[in-house]
Amino acid sequence: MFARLVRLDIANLLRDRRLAATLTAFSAVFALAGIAAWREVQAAAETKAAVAEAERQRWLSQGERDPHTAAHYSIYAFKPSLALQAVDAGIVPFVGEAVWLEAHLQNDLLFRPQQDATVFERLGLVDPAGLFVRFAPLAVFLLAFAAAAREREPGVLGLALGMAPTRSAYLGAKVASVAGLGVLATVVPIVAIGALSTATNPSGSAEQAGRLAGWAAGAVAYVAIMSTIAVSICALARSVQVACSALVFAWVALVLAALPAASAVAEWSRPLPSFQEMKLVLVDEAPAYWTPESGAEQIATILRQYGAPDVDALAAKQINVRGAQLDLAERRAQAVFDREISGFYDRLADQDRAYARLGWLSPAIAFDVASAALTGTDFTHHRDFIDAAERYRRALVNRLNSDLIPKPAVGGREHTNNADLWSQVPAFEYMPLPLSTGVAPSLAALAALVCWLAGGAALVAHSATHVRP
Amino acid sequence: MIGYECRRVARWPMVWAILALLLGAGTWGARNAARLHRDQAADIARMTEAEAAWYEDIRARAARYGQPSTEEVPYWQDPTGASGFSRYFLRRFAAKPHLPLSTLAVGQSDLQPFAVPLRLETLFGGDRVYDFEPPRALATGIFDLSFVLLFVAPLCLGIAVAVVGAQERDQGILPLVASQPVRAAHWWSVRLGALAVVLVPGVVVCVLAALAAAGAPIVAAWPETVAATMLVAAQTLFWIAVAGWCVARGHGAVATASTVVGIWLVLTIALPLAGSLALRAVASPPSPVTDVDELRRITDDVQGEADEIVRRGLIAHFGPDAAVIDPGRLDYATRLVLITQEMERRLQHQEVRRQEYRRAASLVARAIWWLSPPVAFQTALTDLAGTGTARHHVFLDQVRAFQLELRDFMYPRVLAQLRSGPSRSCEGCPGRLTFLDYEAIPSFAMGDLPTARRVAAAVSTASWLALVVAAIAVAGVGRGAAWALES
Repeated sequence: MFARLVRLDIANLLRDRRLAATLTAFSAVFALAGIAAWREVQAAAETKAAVAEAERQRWLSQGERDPHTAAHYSIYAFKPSLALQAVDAGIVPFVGEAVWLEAHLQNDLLFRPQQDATVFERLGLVDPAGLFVRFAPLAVFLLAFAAAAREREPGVLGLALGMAPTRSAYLGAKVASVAGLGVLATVVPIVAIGALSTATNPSGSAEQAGRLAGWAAGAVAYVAIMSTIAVSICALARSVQVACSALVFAWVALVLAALPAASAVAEWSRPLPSFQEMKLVLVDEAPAYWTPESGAEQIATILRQYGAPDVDALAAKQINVRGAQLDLAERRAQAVFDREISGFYDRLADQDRAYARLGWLSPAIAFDVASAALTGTDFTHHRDFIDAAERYRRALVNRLNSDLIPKPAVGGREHTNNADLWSQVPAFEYMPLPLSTGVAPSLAALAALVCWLAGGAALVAHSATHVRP
Repeated sequence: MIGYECRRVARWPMVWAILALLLGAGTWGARNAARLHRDQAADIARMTEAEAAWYEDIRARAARYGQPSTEEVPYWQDPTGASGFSRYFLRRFAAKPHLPLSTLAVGQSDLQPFAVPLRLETLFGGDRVYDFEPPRALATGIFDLSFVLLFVAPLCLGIAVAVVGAQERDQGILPLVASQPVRAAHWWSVRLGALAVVLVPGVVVCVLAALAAAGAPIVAAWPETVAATMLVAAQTLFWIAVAGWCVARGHGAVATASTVVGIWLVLTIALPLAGSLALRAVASPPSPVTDVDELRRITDDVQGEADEIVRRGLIAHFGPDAAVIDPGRLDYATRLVLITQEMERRLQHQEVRRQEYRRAASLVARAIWWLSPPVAFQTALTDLAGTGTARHHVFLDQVRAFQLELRDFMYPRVLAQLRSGPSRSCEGCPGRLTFLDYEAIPSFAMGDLPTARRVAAAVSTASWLALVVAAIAVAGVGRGAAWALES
């Protein structure tokens, strides 16, 4: 009986041509955005892979030179464009995608895609999941309004309730039909693009497919939650005018305004220190070029370290003072970077966790967090790349400094090395965070999503007892 | 009749609930923007202080290195040598200060750098840096006053007009009204006029109160305030007109609200999205990754020919006599003077590509401006607030001009060292003492468009919106000329 009710509701909804056209428009927008995103991600992934290979070849064939000069030459590391960026761009348009791994400095990632965006480019950001989070509920609310409230308008609600085995079954069928069509119109096009992207992207893997399956499950849950809320509103509203106004207000409050408002609350509750102030600290405490005074202090430390009374004694011990100074300065700078930059990112991650916890206030927030985590486009994944690139930079610079230290200048000529040394530095190969680790900071949001689903079901049950023809 | 309708509209609790919502949300939004901009202003002040302390230290070092001493100071640690100073000590940054009414809209000020450090050897302008606003917040968008005006207000206004405007129809008493000695067009006009009389000043007052609560100098910056008021009034009228047009067509509250939401979606989301896709189709953004690849290749080429490039540059600067100077004996900072110019020459096409894309984006933005009143409104608001991309591009152009000014100041001094020879002006001093004129180093001060130009641009947009409103009103009156008693 329940299945027949669902089929009947779906047939009734699809009979409305304007509604069917609207749903098709929603699907088309999601699909079009997805295709555009997929093409961009695909092109970016191929370009990055090719340029990363070129960087490696340049590194290996840089010829004979001072290892410290090689440490400045170094490489650019590119953040991979993962397949599921075609599903959810997350923070990717707002963070850099390449970093120069040079000596002395933990550089910022460069080239934020949205850096020079105009007003319309930012309003019309091509991000399927971004559109889905904000506008799929609207499609669902439209469906629910057509399915539930319109039976009230011609006065046939009493008849419809009488024909259903129970009121719960009546509303349950409404939820199922609305959610089913909602999923078909909004989730399916995006998942199809995601599957295409996973199949064609160099990063495509079983894990990416698993992430896509997780995203699809989350998206279905999100649509189901919104369906329960919408059907309940329509059932409880005494008139179609009230139902319509309540649905629009619910959309604005739960979705449209909830995302930036929750973000503002997270910023307010976990304020970040000034990034520029941190940069000034780095310039002061980890300068790329040291003063004569700090140079003298470095030499004193090195003399103590090697148990030498003076610089000449270091030379006798076959210690390159410049190399030892570079190494000491580098390691001190690394400690400063750990304290300042990592400290800053820790606080940012803490702020993101605060935002995830606000998923209890709105399913849109919960799914927004879950979506970015599942597709690997949130700050947790971005930071993992930053950390991996920095580890590689340190290993590279430390290796080159260690080559320099035991080889003092001879006759004023500094030690040089060649491809034998450069090839000892492995290529930069970044393995993205596994799903289990990457999703861990977003568990609160995932739990909130599950609770919203349970709460939605309870709300429908409650509405069933209170619905009045 | 208008007085009666105004009193009637003013008695609707929903109208006041919507105005209260706009006031609350707008105030919070304006305060969020004010906080962001206050923090950025504090950063600029901090950077100014740090720069002053830096030069204080340099002056102290210069005084010390100008005294005879046994201390040996390599050129890269010596701020008194022109070449060492130009590469390792010159510190300047360019700041884009906020305008008085920046709290109107965060615009792109959360994304685009407000302070750019400058080095002489950076290619085509300042360092590619940015302030690290939480990327999650950038992705969700900042909850600011313009968000409230662009996203929340139109939907609230649409619902208010739908519910109030179609009350008689939804209650089934429209035939009774139609039987009275009043023309349909007059009835709708008065009803919508009353809504406008209450809602337009209401929304404007909410915006002004929100700005005042956020500490914006709305009295001191009165020309901008007046322009903002006109913009907000025009935007409010636009959405009242759109909803009124639906009501006049004989739609009930539900159909009116649904149509307003649909129109809002098309104008605010679908058109910009279509614009983004169209822009990608006609002009793909330059790939920074490909640019990096090219940069690295050209760097290798230039470094391979560095001696020859430096030799050619010296001859061009000093004349044929410079052929005797051995480029290999010059310090790195001096060589960089000529190498940087060659790098920019060889990478000029990248800059041209970036400018071409910027022009294409501006063209599409212009088209969207005409097609979408909400985008025109948002653009005008951010331009008036000084937080838009247009002002940022002006800033970046000025940063580049300032970098060239710095180079014009420093480069001749660096190269002049080659003529004056390596000898030090002070016997026994560790400093080279070829550059001590720190006070003469140019500073950056952003030159903004005059306030009158920004205000005029905002007034133009408001006028365009008013024209659209007039067209919709004429169409609505035409539609509502007869009583549409059948829905």
